[in-house]
This record gives sequence, C-alpha cells and structure tokens, in this order.
Amino acid sequence: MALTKEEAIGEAERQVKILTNRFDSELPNTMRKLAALIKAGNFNEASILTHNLSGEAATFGWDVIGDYASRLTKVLQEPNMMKRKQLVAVGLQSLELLCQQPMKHEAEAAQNLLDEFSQAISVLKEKQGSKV
Amino acid sequence: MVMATAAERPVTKVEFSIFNVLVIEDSPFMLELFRAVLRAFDFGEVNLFSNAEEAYEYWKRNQVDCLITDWVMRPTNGIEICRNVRHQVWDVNRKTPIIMCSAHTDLKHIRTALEAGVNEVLTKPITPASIYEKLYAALYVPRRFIVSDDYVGPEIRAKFWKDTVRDVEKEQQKKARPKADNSSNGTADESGDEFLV
Repeated sequence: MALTKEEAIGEAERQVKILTNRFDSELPNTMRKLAALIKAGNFNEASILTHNLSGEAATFGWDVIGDYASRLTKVLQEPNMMKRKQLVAVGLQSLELLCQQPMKHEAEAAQNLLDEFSQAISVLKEKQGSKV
Repeated sequence: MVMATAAERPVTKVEFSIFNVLVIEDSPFMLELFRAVLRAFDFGEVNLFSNAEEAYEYWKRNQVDCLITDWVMRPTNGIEICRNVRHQVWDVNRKTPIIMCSAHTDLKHIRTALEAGVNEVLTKPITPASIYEKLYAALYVPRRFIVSDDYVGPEIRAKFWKDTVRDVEKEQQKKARPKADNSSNGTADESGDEFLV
C-alpha cells in the first residue's frame, strides 16, 4: 500500500512512542545489570551494554543518558586498569543518579551534569598522570 | 504562469511494499525500533539480525533490496560488512543500497563510511523521519555503481557530499552551546554537586 510521507512517519511515530514507554520502564533494570557487570569486573560486556544504551537512550529521548553512556563506553575501554576502575566508579554513580532524575528532554540541566562529569574525568586523569 | 499552492499540489505516495529490507543491529531496542518503523512504512519484507554472521548467511541466499546496518558491532562491524559486500564480485547483492547507522557524526567517520561503499549514513539519534529520508534516497534516487581500482560503491556526488557537510555542521551547531549560558543561570552548581562526588 502506497503511503504519503506524512502517513508513514505518523504511523511510525505512534509505534516508536510505545517502544519509548517500554524503554523507560526497563531503564532501571538496565542500570542494575550494568552495575552488576562492572562490580564483577566484566568490562567487556559492560562496554557493549553502555554502547547499546548510548544509541538507544539518545533515540528514545534521554539525550543526557545517551551522552553519559557514550563516555562511559570510552572509559570502560581505558587500557590502564587502575585508571579505568576509578573513572568507571565515578561514571556509573553519575549515570545511576541521572536515571533516577526526571531529566528526559531537559537538555540544559543535563548538559550541566555532563560538563561536571567531564571535569571529574579530567581531574582524575590529571591525578593519575601526576602519580606516574 | 500560475503556481500551485502547497495545498493544491498532488500528494505523492511512496510504495515501499515492493521492497525487502535486511537490518543488522546488535542493540535489542534498536532492532525493535527498526521492526516497528519499517512495518509502519509498509515494507514488503523485513528481516532482522542481531549479528553479522547470521545475516550474511541470509544475504548469500536471497536478493535484498536494501541493507541497514549498525557501525559498531562485534565481532564484525558495519564497515567490514560493507567492504566485504562491495568487493564480492559474484555477490548478487553487491550493488544493494547500504544504509549505515552511526553515532559518529563527524565528517571523518562519514567519509570512512562513504569510502567503504555506503549509500547513506543514518546518524543517531534515529527518528522515523530520518529513516524515511534515507530509505527514500537509497531506493528511489538511483546512483551509478562505480567499480574502480580504489573504490567500489555508489557514485558519491559532489552535491551529496555538500549536503552531508551541511547536515553535520547544522547538527554540530545545535549541539554547541555557549558556556556563558551555564554560568548565567547557575544551574551547574545547583544540580552538579548533587550527582558527582
């Protein structure tokens, strides 16, 4: 059946809304899973999860969680194990708190939090660097 | 000559039901999203795979009208899939349009994708409108297929590249926020300390 662009996109947006609600309700569970993986030292699996989360969160309206998850993915791949553990602890704590906040679509407040996370990473990296 | 107004112009209907699409995406929610959106667009057949190896088995045995693949996947990523497909001389789907999904919106990454033989780059966050645009371009705006010593894939038009640069710059401008905004409203201190130790 041929559809106009508006008809096709309109129907697709209705379907995406249903999925978005599902994503929202499963977010706490995803966070618990991520925390468990990190606690177990399974950084490889954790980075797959955060990579997926970064794309999904951004698509379903959680821009800030998407950005955080993307940064956490990079941190999880940090070659220096000590540095990685410290950075991951900070990142995970922030991400968990973000998921509890009504931050959806709150781009400005979210950006401020993201800036804070970047600063924390820089500070930690500097501290680690000075020890070496 | 009297120009027709927007309301008077005939509404164009697009037929997607004659096409079949193959999607490779390792994120379960994104896979679900593609399923929902492509069905809403009324595609004739939608085949979804969460890994490249299973998808390739299907690919070898069936004619595919369009491939949508994620970039970052393990063990085989989207760029490797694209390069493999374009360089298989006997592959029936060698010329099939490929849409690459990517969180990388910088020109360097987009250039890498285009050089691998990708037709369209779908940047995240993905919306039904952006999927529609890319599918329409891939299936209804034909491009010459080039086979040369150093490139195999759809013709990369100067206009296409210019449009891509424009879209990326627009996206970057949207993301860029003046730092002065943070300091003037004071929300950084109020909300930040609460979350970061």
